[in-house]
Amino acid sequence: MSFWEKLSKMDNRIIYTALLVIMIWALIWPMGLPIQIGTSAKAAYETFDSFESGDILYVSFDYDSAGATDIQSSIEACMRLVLKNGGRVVSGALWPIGAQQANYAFKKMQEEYPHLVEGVDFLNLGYKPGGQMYIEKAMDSLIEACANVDNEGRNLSQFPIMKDLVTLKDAKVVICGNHGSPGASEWVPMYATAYAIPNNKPFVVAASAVNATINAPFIQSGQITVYLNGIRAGAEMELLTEKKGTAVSGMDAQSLSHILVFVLMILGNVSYFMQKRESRKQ
Amino acid sequence: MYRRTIPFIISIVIGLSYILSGALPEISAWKNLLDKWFQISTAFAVLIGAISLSMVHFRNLRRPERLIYSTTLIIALYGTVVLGLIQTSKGELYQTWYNMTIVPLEAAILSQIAFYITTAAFRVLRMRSLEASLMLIAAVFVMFYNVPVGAAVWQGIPVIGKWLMDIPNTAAMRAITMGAALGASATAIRVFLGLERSYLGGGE
Amino acid sequence: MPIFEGQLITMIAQLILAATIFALLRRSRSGERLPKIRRLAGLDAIDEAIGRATEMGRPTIFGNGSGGLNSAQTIASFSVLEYAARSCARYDTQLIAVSYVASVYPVMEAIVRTSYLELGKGDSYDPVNTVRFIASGWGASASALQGTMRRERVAACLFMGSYYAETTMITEVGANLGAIQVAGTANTAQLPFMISSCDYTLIGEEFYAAGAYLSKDDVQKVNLVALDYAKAITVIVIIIGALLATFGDASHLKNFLNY
Repeated sequence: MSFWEKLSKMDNRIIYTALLVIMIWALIWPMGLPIQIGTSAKAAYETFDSFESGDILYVSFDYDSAGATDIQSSIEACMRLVLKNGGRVVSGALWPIGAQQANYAFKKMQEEYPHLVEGVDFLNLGYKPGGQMYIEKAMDSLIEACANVDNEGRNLSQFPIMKDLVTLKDAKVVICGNHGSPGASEWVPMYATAYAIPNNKPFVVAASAVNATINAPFIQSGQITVYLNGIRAGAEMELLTEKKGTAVSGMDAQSLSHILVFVLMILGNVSYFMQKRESRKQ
Repeated sequence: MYRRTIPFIISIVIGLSYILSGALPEISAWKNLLDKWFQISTAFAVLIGAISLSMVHFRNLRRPERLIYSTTLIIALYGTVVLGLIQTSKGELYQTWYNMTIVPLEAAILSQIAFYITTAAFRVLRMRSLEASLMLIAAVFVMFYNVPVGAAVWQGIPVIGKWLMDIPNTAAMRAITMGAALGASATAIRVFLGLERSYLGGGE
Repeated sequence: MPIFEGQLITMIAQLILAATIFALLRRSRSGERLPKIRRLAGLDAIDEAIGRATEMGRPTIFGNGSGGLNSAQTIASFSVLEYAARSCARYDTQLIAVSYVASVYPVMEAIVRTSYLELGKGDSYDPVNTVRFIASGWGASASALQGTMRRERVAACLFMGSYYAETTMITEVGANLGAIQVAGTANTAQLPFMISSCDYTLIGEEFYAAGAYLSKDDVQKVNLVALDYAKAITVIVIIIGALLATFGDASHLKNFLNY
């Protein structure tokens, strides 16, 4: 077997090790490459910075802990901005584990803003099955869509925040944290197209990077007004809200891993052409 | 009759209700009731899954090579249920259990994608033809448009990457999505009209 | 009778599609010939994959992703499962069908059991290990699927349905095992990963059409022809809309479609 053939059939474990080493390297010794703030993050910042005292943000945690690596930092930055301006946040989840992600985010917000009171400033409605049907129902009555219980099984009517959020239409903005289905593909027809866009309200999606291609048509058509794409958007939002976190620290590792893929692509192609040349000679 | 005819009639009635409820307000109220039933039955389906999973893994307890894995699964499954019932999902032990098991495990599983994509890119992205070469070039621009190093190398990379995502990608995605949507609606109509019966368990 | 605003044309379009399916079915049953259907290479690959697994004496694995019974992709996957189950039963090849979704599991179990029984191979059907519910949620399912594929050393992988982030993880394991892999999904975001790791991929509507090719049933074929008519009308409307928007005013067309 020639050198080029060996190279093209390189053991996967060598590639895995190289990737692991460079990612650990970047996380321990970050290079601090400059992160440019994109137009989407700026638009998101303007949208949430416009919240006034009493305005309600509805966040749908439609992802699990795996999607959280890409999405959670964007969502938390948006919630932080809203709560800083005196706004309120209500969360739901179309994914079972999304309810836990919401608890996680609210716990963090409570640490940052200790004055927040559950049921007054924020509330986690929890996981609600049904996907598209839940959204459709929540457009008429949130309490009915939630079977009148929050994440802990408590009666929703007792919470002051729910008096101002009778339907989803009462939320100033809805964000969907999207890692698959149900997610943006359900929110776009049932909420954005049916209500938000005709009423000039923004519809924000914070999605894991793998969903970028599938959501692109909705962004171009204006059905998704603000799109926060993957950990990159999370890093930009963290910079804008001046609260650096895991997203900013992960960007160098992302850059280096992309460079490794690029180098491997070049090696793969060089070995391919050299093998072709060798076989032609023979 | 109970196995095929009744489920078949239920699916036709519900299917037609859904088609017509989009347009007719009279049927919309009936559909709202069906939505509630759907939400409830979806929650019950989890129970069916738990029973199936338990059957497989309780049986595995008799096989020494699978004993440790099946025991772990059974403890995790029933431990979570019991904790949730005692403490609710906001209990401290439940939260610790969640944060120390599911969060790192799922993140670790997702991170495998990075490794697999790297090897797949090495194996697949080769300039075998004009189309493959174009795909490779597009892949490089789209890859680097999303990370800071792209703009650091050349300011044009994010611009070209974004254009590729917004124009050619969106055009192709729209075409595939429309085809898939038509396919999905034809499949749905077939179910609603009772012409598709595979979901009743197959057979002649 | 009052009608919700903006829904009339949608409802009429759906009724026309349904009427077309019925009309074509009547035509076909009265002996008239339907247009010829081109066969997809990916479907021949299913036979090839099961044949190879038979020769090697190793199992074939079938998965249909994380769509529920309300997903058209899951319904479409059942035709492929039935075909695969019949082929495996006929050649005495071990089939492992896995489900991520609790409500889909009993349907898959019924399809596979019925296929085995109809071919007189009831003894080859293992009620616990042939169809398995492996876990709920893509993360746990992906690792369970990877483990099953490696432990059982599968030679053929058929992944047909609604797949998400787990696609690369399972198809790359299949590629490492040297298995023949045939995949199909309408989840556009996952298509690049399937194409890069699998031998054949059924893209979008091809996946929905798979049932028609695999089945000898008239209904499936008629459905495919009706779908092509619907697609032709859609393309014409898009072209007219694009021309009107470019050179004139497309608002009348838009208002009509939103009527």
